[in-house]
Amino acid sequence: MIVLGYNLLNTENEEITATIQGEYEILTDGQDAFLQMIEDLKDNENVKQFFWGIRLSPDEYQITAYRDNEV
Amino acid sequence: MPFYEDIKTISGNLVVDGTIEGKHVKAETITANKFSGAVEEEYRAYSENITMTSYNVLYTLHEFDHPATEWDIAKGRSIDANINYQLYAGTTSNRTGTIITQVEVQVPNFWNPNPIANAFHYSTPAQYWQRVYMVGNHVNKFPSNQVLIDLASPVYKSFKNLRYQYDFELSELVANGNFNGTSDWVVQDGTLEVPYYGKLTGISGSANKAQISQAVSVTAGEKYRLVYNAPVSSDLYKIIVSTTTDPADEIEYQGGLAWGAVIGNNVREFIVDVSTVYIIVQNLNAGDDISYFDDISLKQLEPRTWVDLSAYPSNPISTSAILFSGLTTGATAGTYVVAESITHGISNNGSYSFYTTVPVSAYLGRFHRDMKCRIRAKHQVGAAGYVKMQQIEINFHSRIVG
Repeated sequence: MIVLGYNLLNTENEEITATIQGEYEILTDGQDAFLQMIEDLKDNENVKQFFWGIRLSPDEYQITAYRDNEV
Repeated sequence: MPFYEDIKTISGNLVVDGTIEGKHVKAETITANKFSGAVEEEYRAYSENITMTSYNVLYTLHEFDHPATEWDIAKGRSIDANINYQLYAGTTSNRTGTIITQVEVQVPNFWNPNPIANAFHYSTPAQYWQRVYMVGNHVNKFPSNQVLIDLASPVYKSFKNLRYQYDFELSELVANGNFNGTSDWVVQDGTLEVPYYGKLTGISGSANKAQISQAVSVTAGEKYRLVYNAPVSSDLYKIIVSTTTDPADEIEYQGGLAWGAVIGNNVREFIVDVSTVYIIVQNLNAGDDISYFDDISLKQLEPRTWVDLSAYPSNPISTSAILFSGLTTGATAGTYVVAESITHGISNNGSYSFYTTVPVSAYLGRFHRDMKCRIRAKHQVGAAGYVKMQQIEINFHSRIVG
């Protein structure tokens, strides 16, 4: 199971929090959604990185790759 | 005695002004560390003074390229770095937390996944983990992070417990090796009895040594483990692995396959070059000599690579499937993959500044192409002045790994 999301900066307390955007079983679906997520959020200055990962269990996922937001 | 020929050997140097060609190059005869030049390549990178002020924000410590291998030979690629960090607390009050250091590689535009081997389902050692094995030693083809299964419908998986085992035992080849009766053994020049174990009594006055034997089908070129027990005393019998029922035809392997028996279990390992061997137990002396023996076992040893695959929500391999390197984890081109991540605890211990060295290493698998790499880090030390990377020394290697 592919896990997609982004690291969001909370400007009030300067903390970074991970937000999961979606989960996909099919690789190409996940890749398309990843690129779409970048396109949708690339102008948001508070989005610092987009991440790509794998779900290890219902309660646990592992981030395996990052794309910095170049805003 | 079977015919054999000593391998011709050249003493001294052989200089060939041209190309060496042959119909076959025998496996395991040429080792990488005997070459010079393009076999092992070593490169380095260095940087210093990156200050990480923000909490939990990734900073790039250094970017560098891992160069394509000479002659485009597929080699095992690795990155090893030592990083000196300074935690500047700016106070003697306690400041404690972690530093997370990541080795990252950029997913290139074109990437052909490198095959590792065919993997077979073995067990489910824990929930959401599947244990599989591959025949042979393939550990050097696994990158640090993930594997890929099924190119037609790709699935990337994390893994753990990767290891090589040279001696997985296949099924028992000796029949009635524990002597529950006298069946399956051919007796010559004596009498076989089975009081609690095997007992072989020779014939009084005979010039021959009593023996029992059993033919076993084997596979030429494979490795075998012979186990045999001397339950009463040492030095009562010899055990011989022969090509016939005649002990004189013992197989010539590293000095011959004939051994004495010390009390307790005895273990021998050898490679055969025939398809049938005879396991012979022979009394040490002629005449009415008596020997005692038990638990004779012969098993083929299969070299295996074991690994546990992440199996959420279900096992990724039903029966068998080819594993590929999953270095990219399926992420799109341009994305940086975390090949390895190290979490390191840090505390100022009552000082304004505290210094520590963090080693981090990643193995990228076996391939030849250029790779863009970087090392990044973030700190999670609350209310610290800053964490500073003082120096980073990076060594990267490309080496033939079979």
